[in-house]
Amino acid sequence: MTPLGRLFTISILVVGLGSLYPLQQWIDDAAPRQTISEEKLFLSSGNAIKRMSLGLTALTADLYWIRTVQYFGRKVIDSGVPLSAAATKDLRMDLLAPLLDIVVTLDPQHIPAYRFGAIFLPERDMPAATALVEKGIEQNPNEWRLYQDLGYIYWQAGNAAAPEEQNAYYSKSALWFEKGGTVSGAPWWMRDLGGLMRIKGGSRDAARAVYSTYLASDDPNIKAQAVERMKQLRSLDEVDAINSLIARYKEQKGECPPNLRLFAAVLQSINMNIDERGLPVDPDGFEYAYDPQKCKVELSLESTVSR
Amino acid sequence: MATSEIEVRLAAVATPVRYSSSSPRRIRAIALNTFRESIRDRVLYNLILFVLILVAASAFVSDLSLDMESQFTATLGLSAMLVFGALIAIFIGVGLVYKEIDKRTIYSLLSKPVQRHEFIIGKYVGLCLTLLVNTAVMVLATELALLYVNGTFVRLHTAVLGASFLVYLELAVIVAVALMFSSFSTPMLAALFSFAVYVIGNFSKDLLQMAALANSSVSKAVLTVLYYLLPNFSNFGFITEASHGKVVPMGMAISATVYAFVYIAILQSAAILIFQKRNFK
Repeated sequence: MTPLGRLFTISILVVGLGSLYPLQQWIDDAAPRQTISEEKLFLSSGNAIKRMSLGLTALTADLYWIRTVQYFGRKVIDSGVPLSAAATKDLRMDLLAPLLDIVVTLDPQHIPAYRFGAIFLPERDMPAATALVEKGIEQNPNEWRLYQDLGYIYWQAGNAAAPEEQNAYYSKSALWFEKGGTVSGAPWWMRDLGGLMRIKGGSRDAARAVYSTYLASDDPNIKAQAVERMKQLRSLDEVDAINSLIARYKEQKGECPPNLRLFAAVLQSINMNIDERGLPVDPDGFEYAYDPQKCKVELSLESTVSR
Repeated sequence: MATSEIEVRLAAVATPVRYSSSSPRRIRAIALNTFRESIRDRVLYNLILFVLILVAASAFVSDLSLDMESQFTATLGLSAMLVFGALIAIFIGVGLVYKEIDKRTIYSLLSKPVQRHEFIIGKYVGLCLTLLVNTAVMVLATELALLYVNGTFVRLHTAVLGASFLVYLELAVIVAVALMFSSFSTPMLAALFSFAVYVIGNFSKDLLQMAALANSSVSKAVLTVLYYLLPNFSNFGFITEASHGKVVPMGMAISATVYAFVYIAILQSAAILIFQKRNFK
């Protein structure tokens, strides 16, 4: 190669490398690519996929599990809502149930998949959620966590159901908690929860008892969900406490209190959080909204506590 | 290698060289010889497997994919085009230079009036030609499969054509990557490096996201530099969109083509500079 040729080649290399940055910027700055709706599955039958995986069933299950988590995560990220069952319940996730079903068909011992479905499916597809967890119990009768999850699903369904249907759901919930309690290694409170469901399924005490059991979970999603629900329960109790103080004030003075500062000392004495302005705040630190016209307190619009 | 085969190979390269004084003609001779060599190596036999997969998918997929036969056929065709093409590009590409050195045919070649850069460019063009034929047959097979599934011409036919052009550009970059590594390394290492670049190139968007999340300014800088320096194969990715009937926008086709040409020029220049210095003893 002549010196001129060598210089030419080096020039191409240098100029090429130098142009990569503006070139990639040009491509990245171009009109954003149209998003394609991926609410479709090429292969929807877990059994068909199992046959096609040619013995690599576990690997295929893992790949589908990754796909499920990515699908769910992408929906949550795109929507901008925080990660919780309550926040994500309105997101469209048509593929969540079929994807989870594929995962557990390929790998019936995939406990995280059953538990993921137990948290995030009930509010969008109750039959799919119960079918998934029942399948899990059938395949893994010694996993007491799955009984707990199924009991939880029925208890939640009872809370959302019409009053005349609630008892049927609470009974089912009690049944699964009690069944789970007989599994070797299950904690004592499984049977306790069963009893609680039968006595007062829809009460806050029952809710507190249920969610307390999830606080010790190793799964960060489940734990975060339980923490959020515990905060919600606390805020409900706090709103009730403040409203009862307001009602008493009105009874004595004949008018609504002008603000909530009047109750700061009392509220503090019952372990409620008070901010620097002397106003009660919810578990996430937002001041409760007080309407002096209606004589009523509720969570503020800005509050991040579940309603 | 049998002496007769070496002679045939030498004759194929040497004959045009003897009568062609211009560099482009020598490059063409090497390219055509590389193409012939890959035909002799039965590289195009992969097309049989591809067609079999496509026919089987078109015939049986209706039972599995819930009224998405067309989309599935297009995705399968384009994905197979990319996978088969990338395998050929990497595994044939990494052996292009090494084979000539290993079988000592490089001595005979370079003793003729053939420059080293002509050898590199010729080899590159030859393998690109093989991939062009390979991709063209695959596109034809996919289009026929779509015709069989739909019974008529649909928008997907055009979409597949556009996306396959981008697939081919991506393959051309992969060949350049493999050839660059093969100019100084063993086939095994070159294949490993090329495969690594292929994988990283498909995740380069993540490099930028990682850079945004990185706490250390050094990590941020390194990841950002890597994002711009490594080949970004997402610039050619249009398979998902095409399977939904979207045609490659002109702007994207142009930018991808420019990007591919620039990147190939960089890799070819690097390969030439390295190969110039290489000692064959």
